Amino acid sequence: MVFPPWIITVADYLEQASDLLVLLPLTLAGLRWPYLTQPLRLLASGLAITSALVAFAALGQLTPAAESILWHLYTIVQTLIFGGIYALAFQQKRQRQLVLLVLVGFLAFALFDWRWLEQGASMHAYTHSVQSVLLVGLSGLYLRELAQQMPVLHLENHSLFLASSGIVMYFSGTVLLYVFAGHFVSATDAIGEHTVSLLMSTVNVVRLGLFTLAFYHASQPAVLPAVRSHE
Amino acid sequence: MNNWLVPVLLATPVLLLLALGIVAFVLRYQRRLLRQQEQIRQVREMAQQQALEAALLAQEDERRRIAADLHDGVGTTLAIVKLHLSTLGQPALTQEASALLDQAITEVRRISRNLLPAALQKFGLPFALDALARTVPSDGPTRLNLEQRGQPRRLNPHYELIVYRMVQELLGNGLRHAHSDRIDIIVDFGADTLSLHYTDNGIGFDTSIIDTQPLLGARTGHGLTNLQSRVKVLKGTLRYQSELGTGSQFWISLPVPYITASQAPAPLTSLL
Repeated sequence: MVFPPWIITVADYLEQASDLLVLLPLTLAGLRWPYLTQPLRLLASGLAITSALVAFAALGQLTPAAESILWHLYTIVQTLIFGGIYALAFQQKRQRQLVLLVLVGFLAFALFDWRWLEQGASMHAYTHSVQSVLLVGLSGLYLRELAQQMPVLHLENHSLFLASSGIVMYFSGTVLLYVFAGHFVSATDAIGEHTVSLLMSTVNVVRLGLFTLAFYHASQPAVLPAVRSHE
Repeated sequence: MNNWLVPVLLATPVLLLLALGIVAFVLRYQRRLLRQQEQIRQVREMAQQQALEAALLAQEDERRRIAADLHDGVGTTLAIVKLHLSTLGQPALTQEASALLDQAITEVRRISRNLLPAALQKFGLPFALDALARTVPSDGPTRLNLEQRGQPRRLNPHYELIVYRMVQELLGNGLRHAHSDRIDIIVDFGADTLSLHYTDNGIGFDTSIIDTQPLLGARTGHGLTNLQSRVKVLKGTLRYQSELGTGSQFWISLPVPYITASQAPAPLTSLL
């Protein structure tokens, strides 16, 4: 398969655009902060922290080793925050405890991967893969719970449904890219690398769009005035 | 070019589509659950409606049976006893007994008529309502004004009976409990709805007590419950407004289907 060279340009633009697009859900979250539930506040905080890490990686003059650690830290923080959303959102205490246990397990695995499995690698593919499987699984379980419990009539307007949809789509779309990340990095294939980047940026735009919608739909339940009716 | 790139690039959209499919499935699943819940709710509501209707019809059947027994059994026996008394040929001795018998026969007739309004079956709702209004003495403590508007006409016999019972219930409650000197009832025969508007200037009642637990010795709201049941059977709406000392108002609106002349109930032989 031959990829056209303009992909490099488009991929670069889209990557920058998707990095900047994070400001949209963050601004909306800031404006609607009083109305946000705890899981949504955690999501907004997570977006702010991970965006700060991305900015630091882009602007800071980091050595390859430091950059590798930073990206590994990014993956861990992102997983703990997104997982933490479900630790707050699930209805049953047992589910919440299980999520916390799984997150602790993930943290242990990430440290094991960094220290032994992929020691010195520029990208920790195992941790990324486990992250994707874990978050897709948690989001899937939460979506199932939402469908069964029906907290709202129109699920498509439910903030955490939108956020979970964003998480499922982002990590489903990027799981294979992370699994084979090592191969792509070592191949020194500019067009291939940019094609992967284009795909990731596209999925990221979708995710941020859904997060924006999630914050947009976040509002307190309307308090009706006490009206006496005898109908 | 990296050997892994093409298969990964092909598989990634597939995974993305799968994720999209999961989201779409969840939405569809929720819609289906909502539809099922709505159907279950409708079936339950219909079952409740049918049970309520059956209970009301059973009540009316029982009233009819008691009315017939009173009229044909007790009423006839009393008439025969009176006949026997008259054959004794001692009017001085039997006059008082005969007067008491007349009183008993009249009472039996009145009870029987209340239990089964013959005028309703024979001549329909508009006539029966007028007859009901005439039972309230014009020189009594409460003045009744029953007005029929629109196009007074015959309805389905079940509808007529239920509407009649509603008016009877409202009027009975007003006369017994409201202590008002004026009661106004407007029955409006619309094109496809029948509206009742009841007003009295009596003592009124505390709607919050009716809405919650009835107090001991207070008006229990059974009349209102009966009214609500009947309105529910006809899929109508009931609204009321009352405050202590300011009288009461009731608005009832019922969807009433027209019946053609051929569907009109045939007049029955009067019981009394």
